[in-house]
Amino acid sequence: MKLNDEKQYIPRNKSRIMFLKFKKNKMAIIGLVIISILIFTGIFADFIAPQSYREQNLPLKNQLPSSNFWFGTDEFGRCIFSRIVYGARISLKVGIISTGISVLIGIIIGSISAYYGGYLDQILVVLMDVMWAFPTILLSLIIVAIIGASLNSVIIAIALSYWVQYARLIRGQILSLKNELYIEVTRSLGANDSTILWKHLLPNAIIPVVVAATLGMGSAIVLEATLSFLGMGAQPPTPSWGSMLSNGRTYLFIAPWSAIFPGIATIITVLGFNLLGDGLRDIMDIKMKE
Amino acid sequence: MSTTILKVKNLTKFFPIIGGVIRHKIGEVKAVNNVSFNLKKGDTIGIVGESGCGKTTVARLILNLIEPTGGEVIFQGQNIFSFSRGEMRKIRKKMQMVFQDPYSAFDPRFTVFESLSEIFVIQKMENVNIKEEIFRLLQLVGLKPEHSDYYPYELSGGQKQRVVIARAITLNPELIILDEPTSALDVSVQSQILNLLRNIQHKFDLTYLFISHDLSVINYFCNKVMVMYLGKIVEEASCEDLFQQPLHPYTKALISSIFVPDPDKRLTIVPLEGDVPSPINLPPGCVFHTRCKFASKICREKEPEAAEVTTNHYVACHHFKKIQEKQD
Amino acid sequence: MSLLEVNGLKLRFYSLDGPVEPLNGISFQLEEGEVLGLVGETGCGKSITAKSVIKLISYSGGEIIDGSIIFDNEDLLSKSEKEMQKIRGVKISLISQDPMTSLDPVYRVGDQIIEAIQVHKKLRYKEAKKEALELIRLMGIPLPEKVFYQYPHELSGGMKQRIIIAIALSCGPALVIADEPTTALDVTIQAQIIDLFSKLIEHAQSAFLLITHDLGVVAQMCDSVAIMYAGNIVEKGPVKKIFHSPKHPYTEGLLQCIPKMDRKQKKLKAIPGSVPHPRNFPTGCRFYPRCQHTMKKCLSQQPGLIEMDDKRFVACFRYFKNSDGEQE
Repeated sequence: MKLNDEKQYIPRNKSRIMFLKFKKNKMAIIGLVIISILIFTGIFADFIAPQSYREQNLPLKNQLPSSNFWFGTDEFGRCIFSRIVYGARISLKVGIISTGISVLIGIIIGSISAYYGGYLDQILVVLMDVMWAFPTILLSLIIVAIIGASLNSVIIAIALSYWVQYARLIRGQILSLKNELYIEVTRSLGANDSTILWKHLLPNAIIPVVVAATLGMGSAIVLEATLSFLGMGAQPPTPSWGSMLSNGRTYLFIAPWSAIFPGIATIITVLGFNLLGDGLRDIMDIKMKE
Repeated sequence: MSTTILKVKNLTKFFPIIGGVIRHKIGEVKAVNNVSFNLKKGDTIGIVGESGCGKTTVARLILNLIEPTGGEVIFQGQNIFSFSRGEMRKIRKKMQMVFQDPYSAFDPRFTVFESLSEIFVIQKMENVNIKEEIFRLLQLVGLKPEHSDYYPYELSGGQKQRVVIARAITLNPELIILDEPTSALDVSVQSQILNLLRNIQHKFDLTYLFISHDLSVINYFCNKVMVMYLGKIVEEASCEDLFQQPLHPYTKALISSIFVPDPDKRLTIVPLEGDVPSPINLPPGCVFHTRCKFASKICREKEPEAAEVTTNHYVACHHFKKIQEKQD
Repeated sequence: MSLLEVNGLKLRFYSLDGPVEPLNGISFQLEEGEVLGLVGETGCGKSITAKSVIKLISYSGGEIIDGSIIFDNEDLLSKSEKEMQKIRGVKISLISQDPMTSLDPVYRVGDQIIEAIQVHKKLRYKEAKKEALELIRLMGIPLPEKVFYQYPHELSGGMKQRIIIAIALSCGPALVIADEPTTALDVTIQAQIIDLFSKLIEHAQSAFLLITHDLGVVAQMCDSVAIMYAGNIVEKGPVKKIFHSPKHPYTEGLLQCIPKMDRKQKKLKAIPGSVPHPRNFPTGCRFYPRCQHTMKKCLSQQPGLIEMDDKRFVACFRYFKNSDGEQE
C-alpha cells in the first residue's frame, strides 16, 4: 500500500500487478505477439494477401516459391501465401470458437456436478464418460448429416467432443475446493450458493482450465485438419490450413511447399497459444511475486 | 443473574455411511450422541476431548452449518433449526466462529481488505464506511491498516489468526465459537492470541465456547469445562473442580497424560491403554468401558446417566464413587 | 569421543527470490545412549538440521555449505550418497514428522517393515517376517500376526506411529532421529508413544535426537536440550538445569507462556512480536527485536555460545564476561 499526502492508504492496483507480471514473462510476450500477428492477419487478410485465394491458374500449378508467388502454388495454381493468409481467419475461428464453446459447456456442467453432488453428479459423470467415449468422427458424421458439411459443422463437432475434459478438470478442482474452510466460513456469514460458486470457487478453480484451453486450441486446429480431409469440414475452395496440409500430402515429393507452409503456420499458431497460456497461468497465480 | 443465551438440548448427529453397489446406508458414524448444556452470557466454557469425540461436530451444529439428526439448539429463545435462510442470516450476525486452520480460512485470491469487506456486502449493510470499519477492526486485533492490503500467503500464522478474529467480531456478535483456535500456532504466538481473545471478550462482553484438545489451555482460558468422549459428555464442572477433583476415569487419564514442562514431574505410569474406538462401532453400555480399568458388568450393559456430584459438577459413570474411594 | 558431533553447520536453500541461509553455524554433541531434545518453534531450523545430519537435505532443495558432521568417528560430509545409504536406516534412523503419510498406502505394513529389514540384512522373506513380527510385538501392538497383514489406512494414528518406530529400529541403529514424533497424535496416544520411546531407549541403548516444539515432551524424555531460535542454538545443556533456571530470554519467555496446570493464572505472559523469516533475519542478535533485556551490543553483534558452567551454554551478551572475569 502506498501513503498519499494525507497518510491515507491506497490499495494496490491488481490490474497493474498483473500487467507487470506479464511483462516479466518473456515467453508469454512472444506468445502474445504471435497471436496478435495472427489476429491482425486474419482481420486484414484482404489487404495483406497479394492474390485471391481461390483464383486458379492451372498452367502455373505446383510452382516453386518465386517473387510472384512467395510460397509457391498448389495443385490448382493458387497462391499458397494468400491461402495461408486467409487461412489464418479459419484457424482462429475454429480454435477460438470451438474451444470457447467447449469451455463454457464444460464449466457449467462440471461446476454444477461438483457443487451439488449427489444423484445429479452421478448422472452427469455418466454423461461425461459416454460423451468422452463417443468417437469424434462418428459425432461429426452425425452433425454433418443434420446440417451439412461446412466449417461450422466441424466447429460444433469439435466443441461437443472436447467439452468433457474441461468439465472433468473443473469438477475435480471444485470437489477439492468446496470443502475448504473459507468456503464454509463464507457460507456461515450468510452467502448464498451462487456467490460462493462465482466469487470463490470458480476463480480459484479456473487456472488449470485456462492452461488446458490453450492447449486445446491447438488440438482443435489440428482436429479440424482431419475432419476437413475427410470431407466433413471446410469445403473447397475454403483455405483452411488443415485441408491444405491434407491435400499437400499427395504432392509431398513433387511440391513439398504446399504442405510445409501450412504445417509451419499451424505449429507457430499452436506454439503461440501455448506460450500465451503459460503466461496467463503465471499472472493468475496469486503467489507469484511481482 | 446472567441470562442463558444458548441452550443445547439432546443434540444428536449421526452421519450415514454409504457403500455398496447400490449406494445404500450401511452404517452410521455416531458423532454427537445426545449432548445437552447451557451457556450463560459472559461465560467461557470449554469442550475438551480427543479426535473423534465429536467436539468439532458440536461446533458446526450450533452454527447450523450441518443439520442435526435430533435435538435442539436454542439461541436467544428460538430453535435455530427452525429458521429460514433469511432468518439464519440475521442470527449469523450474533454467532461467529474462529476455527483452527488459519491457512485456509481465507480465499487465497482475496486480500485481507477484500475478505473483510465481503461480509458487509453479504449482509447488505450499506450505511457503513467499509474502509474505516476495517481499519478499526484491524487495530482492535493488533494489526496495522497496511495489513489490509496483504494476501493471506503474505501473513504469518499468528497474523492470519488475528484477521480471523477481526472477521469474527465484525458484525458485533454475542457468541463466538472457537474450535482449536491456537492449535496450529507456535507456543509464543498462542499466548498472544489467547491474551487478545481475553481482551476483546471484556471489551465486547462476549460469550465463548472454546473447543480444544489441550487441557492446559482450557484450564487457563475457561471457567467451565465439559469433557467429551465418543459423542457424549462424560464430565462437566468448573475448571477448578475438574482439575482438583476429576471424577470420570477418562478425565483422570487425560489430566495425567499432560506433559508438564518440569523434568521433575515425569509420568510413571501410562494412564490409558488401547486406541480410541471408532464412532461407527460404539461399544454398548458406557462408551468408555473398553478402555476403563474399573469396568464391570453394568458398564457393558447400561449407559450411565449424568449425576450431579457436587454443585455444578456432573459425571456420567457408574462407579465414580468407588474410584474416588480407591484413590483416597 | 561423542557419538555425534555437529560443528558450525550452515545450510543454503535456493529459491526464486535468491538464496536463503536459514542455519547460522549450529553446533551440538550427542553421547551414546543420550537423549537430546532440539526444541524451537516454526522456522527455527530444527527440522532441516535433523535432515542434514543424514544428508537428506539435498532432496529438499538445500545444500550444506559449511561445518562438519562427525558420527562414530567418521566424517559424514565426505561420504558419497551410496555410502550414506548404507548408514541410513542401519546406523542412523529417521522417524519423519507425519505418521499419517510416512507409510506407503498401497503396501501392507508388514511388507514395509520387511522392506526396511531386507535393504540392510540379507534375510529371506520367512526370516525377515519373523523379525518383523517380533518388532511389532515389541512395539506393544496386540495381535501382531493380524496387524502384519493390514494396510496403513486400516490402522489408527497411534498404531501407524508404532509401525514407523518399528521400521526405524529394525536394524538396531546407534542413533535415532525423531522429528515431531507425537505432534499429530491425540493426547492419550501421545502418552503411550512417549512411554514406548522411554522403554525402547532403556532397552536398545540407542541415542535419540528428538526434534519437537513441545517443551513438555522434552521435560518428559530428554537428558539434555538445545533451544533453537531463527537458525541459532541459543541455549543448551542438561534438561533439569535449563528448565529450572533458564538463562536466555527466549527460553525464559517460552517457559513462561505455557499455561500452568497447578494454578489459575490471570494473564499469560507472551513474547511480543513473531519469528522472523529467514530472509529478514535482523542484524546482530536475532532475538533482539523481541527481547526485554537488550543492551547496545545486541543490535550489532550476534552472540556466540559461551560455556557457563558444567556443560551449560548460552548465547546472550548478558552473560558475557570481559577479560577481568567481570560481567559486561
